[in-house]
Amino acid sequence: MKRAILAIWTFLVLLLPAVSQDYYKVSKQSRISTGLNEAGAIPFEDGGIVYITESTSVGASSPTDAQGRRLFTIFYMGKNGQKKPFREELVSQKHEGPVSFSGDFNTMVFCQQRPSAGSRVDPLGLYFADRNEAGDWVNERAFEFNSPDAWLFSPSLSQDGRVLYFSANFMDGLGGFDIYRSKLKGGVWSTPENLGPNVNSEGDELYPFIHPSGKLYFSSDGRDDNKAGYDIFETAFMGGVWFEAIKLSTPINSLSDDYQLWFGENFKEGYLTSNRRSRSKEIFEINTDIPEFVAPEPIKKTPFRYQIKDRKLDTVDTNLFRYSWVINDTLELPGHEVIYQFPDTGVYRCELHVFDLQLDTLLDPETVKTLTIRFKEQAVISCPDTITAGVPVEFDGTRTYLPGFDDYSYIWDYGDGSFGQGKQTIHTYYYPGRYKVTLGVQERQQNRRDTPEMKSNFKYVVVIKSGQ
Amino acid sequence: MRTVNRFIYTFIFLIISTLGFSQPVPNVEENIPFLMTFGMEGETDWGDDDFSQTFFFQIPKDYDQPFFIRVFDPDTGGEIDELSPPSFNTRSVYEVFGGEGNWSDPAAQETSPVGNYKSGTLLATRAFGENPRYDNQWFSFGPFNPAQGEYAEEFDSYIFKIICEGVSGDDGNMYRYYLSTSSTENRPIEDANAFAYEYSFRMHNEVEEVAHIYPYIEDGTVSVQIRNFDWDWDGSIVVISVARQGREVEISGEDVWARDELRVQDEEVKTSMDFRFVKSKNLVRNNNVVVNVRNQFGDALRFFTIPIGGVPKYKGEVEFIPIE
Repeated sequence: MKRAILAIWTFLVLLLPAVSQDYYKVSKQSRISTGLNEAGAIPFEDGGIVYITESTSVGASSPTDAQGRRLFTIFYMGKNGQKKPFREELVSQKHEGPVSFSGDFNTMVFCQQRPSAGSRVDPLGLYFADRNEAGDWVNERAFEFNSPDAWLFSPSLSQDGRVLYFSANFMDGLGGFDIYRSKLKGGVWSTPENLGPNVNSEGDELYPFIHPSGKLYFSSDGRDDNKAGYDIFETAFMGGVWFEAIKLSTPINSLSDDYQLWFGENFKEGYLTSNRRSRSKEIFEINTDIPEFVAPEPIKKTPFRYQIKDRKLDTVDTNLFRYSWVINDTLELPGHEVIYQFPDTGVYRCELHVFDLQLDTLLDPETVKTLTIRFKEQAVISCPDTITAGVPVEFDGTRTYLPGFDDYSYIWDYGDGSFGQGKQTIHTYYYPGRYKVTLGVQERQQNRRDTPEMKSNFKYVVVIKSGQ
Repeated sequence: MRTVNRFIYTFIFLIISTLGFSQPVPNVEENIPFLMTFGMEGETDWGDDDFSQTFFFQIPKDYDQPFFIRVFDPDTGGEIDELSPPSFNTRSVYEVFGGEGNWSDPAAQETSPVGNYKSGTLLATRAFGENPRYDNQWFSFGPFNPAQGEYAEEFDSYIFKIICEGVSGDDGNMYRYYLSTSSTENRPIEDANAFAYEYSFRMHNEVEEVAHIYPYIEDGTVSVQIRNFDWDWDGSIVVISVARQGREVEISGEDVWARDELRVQDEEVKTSMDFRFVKSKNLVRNNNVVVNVRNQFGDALRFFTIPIGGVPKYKGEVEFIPIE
């Protein structure tokens, strides 16, 4: 028996990397698609999409560069599907984009190929612009660390606009393009810092995207023995180190090249650049049928251990009286205040027995109260409060107590950008931190128009480093 | 069986406490064998601090028949009373007062026989020495017309006062009263009651007998000072109430007063307390004691022989505190 359990556990552990993201649906953004290369999609504040494309606004292919490659241009597609260059003034005879915005969309950083003295091929560099009150992009300026000897590419600004991630092939890199980070301090960008071998490899690392949660996504062709070209990885910076990057599973990654990834704050929608099912790079939308958890409440534990006391009893004279509490006429606990662990839910009649030592008699019990213990009506998450990073942990929802509720599906939000389905699931946290785990229990949909009710509750878990 | 017993006890309790149908003084529930008054030539270390005891009877306003105040063993001599050797020499005078002021006069509501404590109209009086005719027998004062008393709106009753004083001698007079509709037997008056501002009584000699007296905590009482005299450290006095499981108070030694103070809880106001007297195993025979209670203003509180609101029983409040 023990062997069987061990075998199942080992199987689950080995299975883990493949089970974590099957709740996502990846579908081509057909309105953007032109058959030419499109990439680097991110949302704009008005709900439109900003991306780069080789096509022009009228659908024709763009001019080519000196090497005969079509030029990329930063484009915008509004919610109505109308497409146009994001900034006419940026359109040039050089490669432009991709682009990134600060959280308030008042600062943008974009990539552009510009001439550089002494350089045979115009290098790609990063450029900033600010949005004024009229909505125009002004104050354009070059990133201090643009170099004629290197290409700086695919920027990603943090929410507050104070940390910049980008890809570059600086000479001191680990090979190909590496991911770098620069911080804005006192209005000056710090010297770009290579994120090191847990992120970068001998191959190319491109398209970094820093998520508001602190997770960094990027594409690499050198971290997976180049089994499937470019794949998307994630990592996080915690405790002064970048964690070993982890490859995302299907359907985010495919057997084709997968490049840029953008996730919304709740990880339930996103964009992906990939050449799956196509010869060109296409933009895909990421969606999930994970429903919204409406106002989840913290899980309340059902207490079974109680102190039982007579709150009026201000004077306890053990020379006069001997006290005991009698539970359901069967169990007697000596003392005027007792602590008792009730064995289960139920109704318990608790009676204070007072034996009068002077009269040598048991007084009529006048201090009586019934305690009813029942589980709280809620979705119950059973899992350790403290979890070791990298170790698979079972999340159990079977103790959910929702009487009269037709619990059809159990949906988990692990708080780290991962979701799960099923009464019992297994999940691995890779990064230390405090995570909000939410379990939503949804009723069965009766018909098409029916919106099934969902009850959701959450608890926090703390993930610690292995060996901590 | 237990439930049946509880039912029977409750039933009996309800009859006793709500009907208030009997006026023996002391009452059955008090379980006090005798009231006690010593001859004024006696020593106070025998247990009587002032050789005088005053009791009031309240007759419901709607009772209009003649009644009697009966005294059991009014004389001082024979087997019940306490002899101060070599021979009984005590004369006790009983005086019954009615009329205006017999109760409402402030001196009447004091614990010591000073000032105009004999206020009101003297309706009857009789002195007893050693007299075998009345030894272990009843003597009846009356008949009295209820309207001869002082009407007290507070009780909606007529009030009569009886004072027993040991005018001479040094023996202990042990006696009881009964408020009766008959001069020859004890027939109670429905809803009548009796009270005193100071209780002087004889304790049982048997260790297992437990005596009680029931002071009534009037509205506005914040604290009470309990005083007891000549307890001879003979056991304990425990205060029980609707809010108090049991709290021992200071007890006195030989020929001295002891004082103790209790903070009155809100729940105790307008209820009776139960002062429980339990003798110690070190038997002190013929122990006589005096008890009185005053509020925070120094006003004496009344001991009712039928406790107002019934015999108080402590009822706690169970609290369940979950422990994480």
